Amino acid sequence: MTGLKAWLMEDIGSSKDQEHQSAKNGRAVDKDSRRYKLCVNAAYVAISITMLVVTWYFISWYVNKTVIPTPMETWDALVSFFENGDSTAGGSAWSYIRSSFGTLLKGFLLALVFAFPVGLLLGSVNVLDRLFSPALNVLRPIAPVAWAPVLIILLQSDASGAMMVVFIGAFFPILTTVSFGVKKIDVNLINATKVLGASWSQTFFKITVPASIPFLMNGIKTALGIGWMCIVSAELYASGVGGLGNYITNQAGLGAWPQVYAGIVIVGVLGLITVLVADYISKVLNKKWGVEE
Amino acid sequence: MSIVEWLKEDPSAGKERADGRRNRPSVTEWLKGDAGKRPEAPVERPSYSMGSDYDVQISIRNIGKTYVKNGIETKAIDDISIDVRKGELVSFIGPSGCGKTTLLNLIAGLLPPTSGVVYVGDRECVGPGRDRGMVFQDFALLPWRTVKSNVELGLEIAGVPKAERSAKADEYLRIVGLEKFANSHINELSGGMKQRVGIARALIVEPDVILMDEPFGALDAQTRNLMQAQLIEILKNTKQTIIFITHSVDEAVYLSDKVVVLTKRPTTVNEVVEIPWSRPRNRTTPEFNSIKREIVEYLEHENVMVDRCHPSPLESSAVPAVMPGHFSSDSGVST
Repeated sequence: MTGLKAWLMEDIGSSKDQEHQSAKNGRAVDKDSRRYKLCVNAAYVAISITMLVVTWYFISWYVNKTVIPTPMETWDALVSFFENGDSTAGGSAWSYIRSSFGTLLKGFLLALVFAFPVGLLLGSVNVLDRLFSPALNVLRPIAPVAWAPVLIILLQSDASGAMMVVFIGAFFPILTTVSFGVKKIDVNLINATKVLGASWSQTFFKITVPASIPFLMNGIKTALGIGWMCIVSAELYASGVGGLGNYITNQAGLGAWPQVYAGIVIVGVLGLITVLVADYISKVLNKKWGVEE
Repeated sequence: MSIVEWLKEDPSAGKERADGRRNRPSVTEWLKGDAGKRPEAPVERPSYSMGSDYDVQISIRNIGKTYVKNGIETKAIDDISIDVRKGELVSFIGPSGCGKTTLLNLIAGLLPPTSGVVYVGDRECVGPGRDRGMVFQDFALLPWRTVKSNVELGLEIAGVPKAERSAKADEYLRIVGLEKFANSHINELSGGMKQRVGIARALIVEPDVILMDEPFGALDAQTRNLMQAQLIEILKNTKQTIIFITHSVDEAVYLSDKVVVLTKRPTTVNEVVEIPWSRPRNRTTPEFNSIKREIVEYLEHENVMVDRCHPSPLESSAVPAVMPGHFSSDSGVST
């Protein structure tokens, strides 16, 4: 948790030593202290979220239709969803979250397993890049959920179909950033290993793979964000998957708009948490990798 | 014209064959490092070295490099031959843009030469190899590794067992004075320290020769002098043969046994200046300055000459001659 705090304050900028000192000084009102900076940061977050909620409230008051409930109504629906579960179809809020998150994770990991090696190869072997890039560039702009009907029939399972939608969505950002990163590797690093007698595979594993890690982490961050979009849209389409997207469509069908918004809020918060965790891991890795940020 | 005809017309493909160098390995063959292909008729060895041939460590024979782009040939390096004896430090110095780095890459085997051969001992070099180490101007260290594991890289590639690797890395870190920083990260080091890691990484595999590409060029003047002194110290202990590329006349005269002054493109040897003194040297003696002046004069003479570079479509045809005084030695020799 202290690491997270340190990270939260990083944008304000302070050296480690200062932080340690002021931590010892304790309660004194010290503008360099961790506590002070954490408060400032928290204040910004609070103001930002408040502005969002106020705008929401204003719009719902102005439109004055049931499709846009007020934040308060949504909050009540949210609390009741967590306390009593889904009142119509049954199932707790956590079971919906688990379902969505599980599908997301499976699709994402599958994408990682395929996209990372393919990105490394396309980045380091020019012939492969020129051979496959045009085809991949045709596929890239297609919204992943467009494949959902095909995938569900093909795999004869809504869950696998949704997982594959996430796979497609997460595949491209990882592939692109990794192959871009490999192409950006300083040629002198490659030369330095060559003059030490390294074979192609030694250069690949000692330079290409580790040098691509910071780029991979960037790709992962983007992939997780897109993954959340994909999972919810796939669940909106495929009725048999369960998950938050399903909850949202079901409630919309019943006209229970506060419940719909509760679902949307959960998706937003979960997406944020996932990206923050990936962000934190990437900061730690970048530090270890000696990447200046 | 049909597409087939048009494709056949690739001018660069035709040119290479017209040279009558069918026997040379192709670029890919060559980069693979397929060693042991001796030329059928050994190239005549003109000797620049004063002594006999037996102590020659690395021998560059008639090496040349011509780039072909869009059917236009640009000669970068034209027929350079140099012998470097064991334990010698030879500097290459020349006008900017004269292809010093290209020359070094040719010697390292990172670029295939258009003509000529590099011998290490009596072995013909094909492609890069552990017998020729390299130190880079921008250090080229692996930032995700610690200092020690950067130094170990060469041994790791050679498959040396871990314990032996570690002991040897400690030894070489001591030689460059970084034993206290073995576990530091690269980005925690100053420029001078980084280059000491680079030197240790090259030294540890005990190559026949180390090629240094303006190794101290990225450092400030103070650090630079310090590094030169440390390099001399290292040379005293290791008797390492070094080929050194530099922009600085002062650095060349301070460090080298032999300074090779290069011409503009197409680059060839202008003059070889032997410096017979032992190291460390005193930079302020009249003798030191007179050798510096001599080299500066060679370089300036080169600069006022008409540009001999083959004009390429990218360069303007009217290249004005650079005025005398363009080249200055580092510590105030006026010409």
